[in-house]
Amino acid sequence: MNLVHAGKRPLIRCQECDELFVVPDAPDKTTVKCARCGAVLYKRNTRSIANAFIFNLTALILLLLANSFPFLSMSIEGSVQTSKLISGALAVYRQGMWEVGLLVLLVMIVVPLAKILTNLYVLAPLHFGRRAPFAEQAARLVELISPWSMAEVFLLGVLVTCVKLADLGTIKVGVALFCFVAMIVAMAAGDAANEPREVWERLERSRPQPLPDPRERKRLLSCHVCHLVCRVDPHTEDESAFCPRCGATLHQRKPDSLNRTWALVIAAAILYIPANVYPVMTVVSFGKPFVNTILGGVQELISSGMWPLAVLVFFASITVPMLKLVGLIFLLISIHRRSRWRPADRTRLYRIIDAVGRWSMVDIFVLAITAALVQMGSIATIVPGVGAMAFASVVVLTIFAAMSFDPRLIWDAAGANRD
Amino acid sequence: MTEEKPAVSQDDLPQAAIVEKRRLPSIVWLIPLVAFLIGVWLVYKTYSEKGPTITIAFETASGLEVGKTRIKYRDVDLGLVDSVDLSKDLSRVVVTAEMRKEIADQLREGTTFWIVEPRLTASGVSGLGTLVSGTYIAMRPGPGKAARKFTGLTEPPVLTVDVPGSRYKLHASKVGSISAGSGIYYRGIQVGQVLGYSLDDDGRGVTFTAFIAAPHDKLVRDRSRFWNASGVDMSLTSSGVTVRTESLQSVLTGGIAFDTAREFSHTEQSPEGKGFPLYESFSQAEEAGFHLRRPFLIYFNGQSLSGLDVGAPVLFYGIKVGQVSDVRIMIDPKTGLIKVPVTVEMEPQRLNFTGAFSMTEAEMESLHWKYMKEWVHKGLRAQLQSGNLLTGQQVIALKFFPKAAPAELDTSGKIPVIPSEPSEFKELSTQASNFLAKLESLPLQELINDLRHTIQSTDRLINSKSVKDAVTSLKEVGPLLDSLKATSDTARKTLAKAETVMTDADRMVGEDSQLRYGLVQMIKELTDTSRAVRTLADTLQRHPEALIRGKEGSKK
Ligand SMILES: [Zn+2]
Ligand SMILES: [Zn+2]
Repeated sequence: MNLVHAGKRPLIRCQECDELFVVPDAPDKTTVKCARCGAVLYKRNTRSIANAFIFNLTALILLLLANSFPFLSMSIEGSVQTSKLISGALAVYRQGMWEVGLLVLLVMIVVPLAKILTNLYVLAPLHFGRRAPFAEQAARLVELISPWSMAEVFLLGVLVTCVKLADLGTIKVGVALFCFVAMIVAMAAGDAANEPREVWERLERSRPQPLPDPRERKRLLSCHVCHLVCRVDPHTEDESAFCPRCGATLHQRKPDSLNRTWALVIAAAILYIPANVYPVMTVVSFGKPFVNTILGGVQELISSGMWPLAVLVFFASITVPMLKLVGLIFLLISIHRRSRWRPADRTRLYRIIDAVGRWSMVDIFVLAITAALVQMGSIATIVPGVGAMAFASVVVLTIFAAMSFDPRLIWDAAGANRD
Repeated sequence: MTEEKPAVSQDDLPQAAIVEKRRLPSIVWLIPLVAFLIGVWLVYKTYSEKGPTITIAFETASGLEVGKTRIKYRDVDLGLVDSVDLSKDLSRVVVTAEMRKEIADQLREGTTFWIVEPRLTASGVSGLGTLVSGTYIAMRPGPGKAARKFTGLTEPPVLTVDVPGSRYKLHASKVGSISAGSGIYYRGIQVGQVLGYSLDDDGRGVTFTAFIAAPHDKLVRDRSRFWNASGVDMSLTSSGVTVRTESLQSVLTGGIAFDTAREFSHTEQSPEGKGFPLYESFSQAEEAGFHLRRPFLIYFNGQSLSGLDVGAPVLFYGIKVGQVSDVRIMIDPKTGLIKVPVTVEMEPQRLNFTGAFSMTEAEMESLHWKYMKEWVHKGLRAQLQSGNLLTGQQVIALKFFPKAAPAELDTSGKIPVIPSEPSEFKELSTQASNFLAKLESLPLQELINDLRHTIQSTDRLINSKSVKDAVTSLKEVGPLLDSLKATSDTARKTLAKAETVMTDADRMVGEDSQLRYGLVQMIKELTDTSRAVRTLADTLQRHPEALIRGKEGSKK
């Protein structure tokens, strides 16, 4: 039906460098990338909604199963401690660190579940050729919470914990762990299949627009959520304008990006010190505490001969937060200095920082699972340390920092978007 | 879907129905289907394996943790505690537990549950393992109808698993050092345990429940005798110091021993539940074997009875044939005459009449009576003897005195009276006083005068030259010296003997005595145990990280 008039086609702006493109007529099963910075604009797949729906449905079944059966059980000298998926969060909560417990509960169970359910709510009617009420809001919610679904990081935490505790007792893997692994695979498949642009286009098609005059380009704002390119009248620019498709506020750039990012980065950098100095967990044995810092945890893995795992934990816990902080500071300074140096590479650096940040949560998960498994009364109890809270804050703050950073500013500063 | 109609009119032609092509669902749908089927199967499996839920009422919930505390029988997990709540009236703790399906049929009315935690009991420290593994609830299946509500025991039972054997009742006057868990020994081998004790209904004694494990329960016969084997049975009697212990274990934690006299060893096993008296010591149990007793009275006129205690033996040819059962002073209210009757109990069974096995007790008694009469007629008399010079204990000896004044067994009173003879010591003192009387009658003054006179004249004689010559020639002094030497040798031998006695006493608690060996061994074991516990505690205190990464030694 969609008649394409000559010279009038839907437009798309790159979310990372703000380059304006005409949506190409891409064939099925291809990826459309930004010609300037290399960011993925969208993927073209006619089966994307069907597949995403099916995989999300699978993930939902598996997540329910993973929550209802024993996850891990550990026997130390005849004392068997069986834990469920939720036990780690509860154990940390019971030890008096409810903030960390809540965070673990959110990123491990609540957010994945919410993401799957919302996805299904949007996808299922679309798959059957209908649309659910408030589907746009639901789709916006998915975009909002997706970065906080960290089930796969939790799985790495399980692996590290098992290796660490293997010497202490016998660890038995429960059926829920298998379900959990399968759920992560299904979720990853669902995420891979899901193409937000396809969803948005199904909800409401982007209208073809005439290729604008170069001077008018600034008036074509791209929605941060649904990526719809909207024309904003000059006189309304100072007031809030809303996306006609998803209802999100329209901005030229992420609001107050540099200041927000600076504030969050500095806060994270300050907390990074107590996160490494103070113990992440304390083993209280016969009333005597033995403190365990993040670096100490890596040392333990090395001294146990677990080199690959030590490298992995060192990377996730020490390098990644450091890289994020240093990288973001570097990007911020380069923008302030209006650097023209390799904007495409700097955009790529930002992409990496954004993607890798979540893996730092692994230490918090290790703490939670260990606390859930090692409960031996007066002989040994795991108590979360102050460092755990500081570290969790660093991870959360750096994720927020990366979210509030607008990579388009790199290109603005480099003078590439002077149209 | 609207189609643009062609310009040419074809209204008269019917419109063909357009049916959308029915597509089969994609193969990808297999994935959620499989996940769903696995889920259904898991849920079904879980519910089909779900065992019965039981409730157990306990006094306290000490150490019980929801979702962690297990229910075990013979160290096999049978269930898990689901919830711990207070009963409505707050008087008890109600534990809800989910049991394994296989055990459902074994949950009957008689099933007992108790909480296993570290405790110090008579038979040692138990449940130390639960320090590490945590408290658990132990279960022992029992008989009865199927049940789902139980009341937990406050104290763990002695027998935690079903062991074949028999239970007997033992009656004693007090509990003493015996407690639940004390061992029961047969010739030094532990064959059973005391399961518990209770005060008798009349409050006059206690009854122990003794459990003898099969096949040793066959050794319990109607004539078996049980005695308290707790501690060290050390007695200082007229026959010396006797030390008797059953085993080191029984010394420390109390114990009961039993035995059956050889002549009854062919008899059948006693029926389960039969009661036996529990004697306070081995010797009392031994005494109890001679249950025929015949009382006799003896008057020791004018002799001191100090050192003659109740229980002192009556010896016949140096062999015990009875014992003193009563010593008292009696004064006739009219005449003021003082009498000191000693009641002795003669035990006819100790006399071992030839062919006594086939004899009835009545026959044995009449025989004993007959001979006592005859022997007294022939001169049998009771005499006080010093049993132990050191302690001053006295015994009664029955001896024949052919020269004694004739007498008969006095059967006029309620209890027959055996005539007595003065003790040897008394005889001696009589002789001594006789001697002194003779000495007194001697004309001493005259003798002294004569002596002085003699000395004076001797002096004169010695000083005379002829005597001096005679003395020089006197050379037969040697034999006298020899005899002196012999005397001193005898004295030395006596000393040596005394030393041997002292050494014997020393050996009882000396380097190589068994008692001491046992004690040393026990102290060593205790030290080892405490050292092991301390090492564990030390390791954990200094290296609690061992819990995280294992001991140093377990590194690859
Ligand atoms: Zn771009
Ligand atoms: Zn929008």
